[in-house]
Amino acid sequence: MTDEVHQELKEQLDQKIAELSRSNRELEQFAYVASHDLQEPLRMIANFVELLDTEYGDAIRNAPGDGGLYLDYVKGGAVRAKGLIDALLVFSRVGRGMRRRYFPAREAIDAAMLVLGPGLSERNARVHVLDPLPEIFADSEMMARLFTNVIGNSLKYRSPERLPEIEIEVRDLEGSYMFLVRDNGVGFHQRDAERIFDLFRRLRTDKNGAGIGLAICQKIVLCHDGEIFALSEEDQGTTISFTISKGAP
Amino acid sequence: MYMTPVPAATSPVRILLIEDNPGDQLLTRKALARTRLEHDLIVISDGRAALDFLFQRGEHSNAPRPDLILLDLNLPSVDGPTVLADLKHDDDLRRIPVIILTSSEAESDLVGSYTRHANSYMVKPGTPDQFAEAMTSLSEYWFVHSRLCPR
Repeated sequence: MTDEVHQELKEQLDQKIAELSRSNRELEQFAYVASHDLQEPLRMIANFVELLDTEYGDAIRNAPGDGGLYLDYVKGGAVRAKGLIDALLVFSRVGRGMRRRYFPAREAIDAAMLVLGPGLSERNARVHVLDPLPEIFADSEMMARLFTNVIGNSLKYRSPERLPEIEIEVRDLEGSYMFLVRDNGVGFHQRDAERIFDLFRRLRTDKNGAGIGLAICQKIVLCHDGEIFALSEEDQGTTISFTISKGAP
Repeated sequence: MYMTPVPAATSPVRILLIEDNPGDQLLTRKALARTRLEHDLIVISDGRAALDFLFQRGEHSNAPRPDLILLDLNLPSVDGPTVLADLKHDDDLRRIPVIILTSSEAESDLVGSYTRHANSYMVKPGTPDQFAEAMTSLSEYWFVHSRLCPR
């Protein structure tokens, strides 16, 4: 390759990178501003429908017709909208003030176990961590959150027929570490494997949630120059695997 | 010189609400009405008018001095942070506690408010009950447990 061609390619690449980081910033800004500015009118709706119900609810519900139902739909809608906006706000904040440093991966898992401890012991769940665990170059808070969300999902989508068992394994790849979190839960159809990381995507509606947990996981992994995948079989269990780059050598 | 301290229960306390959203004005009024605090609520919906009121300028030359100020950050004409900064630059007015009452959870607004010497920062609650609860703890803290600077 001539120097000229090389130089041209390099310039193209730099330009693409600049475009990408600008659009990323815009997207973050959008989510942040939208959730803030949407918050205001929604707060009005939520507050005043509540006052309407408190002060006139009896009259509306006792009057002939569906007035009470309308009231309940407005209230329910406001609660859901609030949940979505809060989730959007949380999601847009992921990665702000991120700071990577070297620390034992074990610490992130321990932090997650501390958060999930009561839930795990209540369900008699067992978590096996296969040694050895490496030191990783990552943001420790974000990693703790990543493990909390992934292990928390294993617990949330446990099988009604088996005690939850969760296994965590690490593989040393060339430029990254791959973590595998396996469970014996209800699983899902493999065709949905990519969709589960979408924001607000929920495969099941029988569990509570905003559909944000795995979207946050994906964002955290992307912030660490990694990738996240899901492998699952219905009623057999799910494996979430993700890579974390080792950073500068 | 003898100065009367702000009495806790004997005479109404004077609260100045600087807020442009009529909905929030009503919510604050209702929330305060649910506390046991005897109070006069003065509402001003514009930053410049609020400063004129507090500095007793123009038509506000006889304006009464509030015991406590509830200040929104987003205001027409002069915005909340500027109102706050002007108050806290004044040797006299800076003694009146200013509570920021905003819907913003942005860290820059929070830090900026304390940097300009806000006395407290409250995020507007999401339900009327929470609003009333917030106003109850606020009034108990500032008017029962705390001693304010004499008027």
